Amino acid sequence: MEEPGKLRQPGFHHSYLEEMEYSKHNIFSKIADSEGYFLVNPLSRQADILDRDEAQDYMNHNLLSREEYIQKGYLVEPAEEEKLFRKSYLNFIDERDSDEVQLFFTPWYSCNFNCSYCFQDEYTNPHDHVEEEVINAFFRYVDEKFSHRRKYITLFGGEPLLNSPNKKETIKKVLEGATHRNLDVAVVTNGYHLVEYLDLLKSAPIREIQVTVDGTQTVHDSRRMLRGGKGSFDRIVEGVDALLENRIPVNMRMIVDKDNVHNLPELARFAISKGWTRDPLFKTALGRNYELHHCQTNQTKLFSRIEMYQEIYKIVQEHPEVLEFHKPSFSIAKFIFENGEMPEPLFDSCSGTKTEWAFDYSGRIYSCTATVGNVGDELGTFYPQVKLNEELIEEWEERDVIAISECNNCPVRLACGGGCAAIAKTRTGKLHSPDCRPVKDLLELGVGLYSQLKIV
Amino acid sequence: MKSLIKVTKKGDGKVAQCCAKNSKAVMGCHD
Repeated sequence: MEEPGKLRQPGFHHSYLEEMEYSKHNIFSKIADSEGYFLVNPLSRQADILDRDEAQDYMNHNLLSREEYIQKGYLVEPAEEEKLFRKSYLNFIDERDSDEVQLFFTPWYSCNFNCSYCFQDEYTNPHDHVEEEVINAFFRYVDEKFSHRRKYITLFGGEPLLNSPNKKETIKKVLEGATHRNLDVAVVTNGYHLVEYLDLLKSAPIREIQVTVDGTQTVHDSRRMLRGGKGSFDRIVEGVDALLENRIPVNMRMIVDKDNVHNLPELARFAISKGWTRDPLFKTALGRNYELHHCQTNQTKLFSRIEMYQEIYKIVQEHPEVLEFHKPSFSIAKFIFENGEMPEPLFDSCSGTKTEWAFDYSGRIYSCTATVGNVGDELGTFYPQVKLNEELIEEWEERDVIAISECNNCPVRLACGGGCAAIAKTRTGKLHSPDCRPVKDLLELGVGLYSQLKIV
Repeated sequence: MKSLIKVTKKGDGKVAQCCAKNSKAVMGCHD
């Protein structure tokens, strides 16, 4: 009797006379609303559609064309696969070491909005004014610590684009510091004061302005209002128009939960009617509303990741125009169909302390935007003196699917990458724990959707 | 088997790491 998952390969090279096994990295499942199945392997970087008979043969370990399965790395000699795994891991580390670093600067946590789901609402702002010497210290730190890295700056908050002379002066100084160093700048903003900031933004090398829009007017204004309750939609739309007219790239982000997902088609139609979706400088992202640091008042409105995509899958079937506005990723499904190739194996999906750092006006250093400003998540200071908690930083740096023991035997680990470290830590109290992505379930939907569309 | 792999010459194959890197520009860890 053959053990499950093992196949004999007569006639092959000696090493292949050993028992061959299905790869530990095979991801196999049925495609949503289809008779077909998919077989994907993030390590060998192969992806195939199997018809019902082929899928049956695969499930019964009765492969007719073993050579093809071997060639594609679905059927492997385990020791050989382990070698490829280690080689790919080293390659991943090397590539990441030369990747661009995103350096967030938070000049304050103040905000003019009172969003219903804010994850920073419990943050305190002991000072509301950033000293010039803090900005200077930030750039000194960037110059010294990241001198040999490609990098860019991202302004973050709170809301970075607040409209007072002092605040504008601060933002101007950061933009000047970046311009002086030939560093691009991105801004994460609620978009309310874009028009007032336009001249300043035009003077800097802006890579992208991320603006959150949660739906069309009524829906957006019920979630993302000013502190006094006034809506913000009209002014944001005006700001987006102004940015695009001035050829400044916009990334429009919709934060989705059960309260507003139904509005996605209407927002898509609005963006199409504005002509935004035809502009190559306009792109979009869908973000899931989720809990970070503390419980939200109304948890029943939150989607799990798979619930969100299941809903989006249904919506797109009924309203295909949504795809003109945004093509959801469905894990690596969109990548495969758009590029006709597999992404590189993802040994670590968390960029914190590797290709991302966050700095705030108090002089503190954090791993990323999910932790910046959260008491207890500090990794050091750049002001008034440079001081780093090397032990903690090392723990962050070491987190990947190899360091997280729960990931060790997971077939989807090289597509999941272990998820977000901050979420994992919030949930388990342990940094080296997984924030699992439902890769197989997402691929069932995504392969289904994108193979119907035949976008390859 | 019908392959979904259409390119023989590999690109850089980079996908967004953290959801924050959807655009390789700005944050978005909600995804």
